Amino acid sequence: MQLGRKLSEGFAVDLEADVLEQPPVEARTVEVKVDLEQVEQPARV
Amino acid sequence: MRWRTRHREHSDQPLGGFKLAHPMLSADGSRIGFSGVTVGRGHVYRVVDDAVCVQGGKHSCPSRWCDCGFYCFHDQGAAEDLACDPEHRDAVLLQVAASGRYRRYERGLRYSRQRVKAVQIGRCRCGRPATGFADTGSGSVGWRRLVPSCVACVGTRPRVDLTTFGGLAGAGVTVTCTAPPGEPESPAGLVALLSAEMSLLQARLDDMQARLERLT
Repeated sequence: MQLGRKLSEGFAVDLEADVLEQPPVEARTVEVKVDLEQVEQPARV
Repeated sequence: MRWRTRHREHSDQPLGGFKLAHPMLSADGSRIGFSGVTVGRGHVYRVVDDAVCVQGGKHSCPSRWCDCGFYCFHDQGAAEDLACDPEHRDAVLLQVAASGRYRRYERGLRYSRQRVKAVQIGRCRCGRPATGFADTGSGSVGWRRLVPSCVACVGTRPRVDLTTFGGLAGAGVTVTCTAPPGEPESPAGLVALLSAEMSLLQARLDDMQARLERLT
């Protein structure tokens, strides 16, 4: 492509491109096991 | 010694432009892309993509010392003029949003990041408005090159209709055929065509009858 004489240079922001390029967020289930015997009880005043 | 100050710009919005490209379909049919018509004809880019130096340079695009980067015209007419070149007849017109680092020229931009906003196709090679894309049989590793085609001309080749192509392109990309619907074939033209075919058949029958008479 012949674009002619160069005039200037710069930087342009495209927020939409940033959004489109983000990979889709996958929902994940995380199993958490808590041993209540091991949970430190709060100190009583 | 005094350095010459360059004119620097900053835009909070992408810059619009128009360009030609060849539509491409991944080998597994799950993705679409585009290849350039001039410098980047051997490279396939996605709907949103960052430029890479097709000369093999490790620099960032668009480099001052190289011709790498995405290209587009400011005006749609300039891209349409380029499409008149027989070499580019199978290309489609893209409306793009240019962003990142860019270099502005009189007729267009050379830039680092591109988002395809719209794909416009015209006529099939037969003259009818194209209704989809057909596999050309050419391409590059992992990608098949497509060509705008009407239903009649696609034949037995793999075909991708406009809706499917738009779906693979993703949200925000419109795919349209800009060619006006063709004139329906007139009855007079059909009669002339059928008359010619009947005359041809009659001539072949006469020839066959003459051969049979010679044999008997």
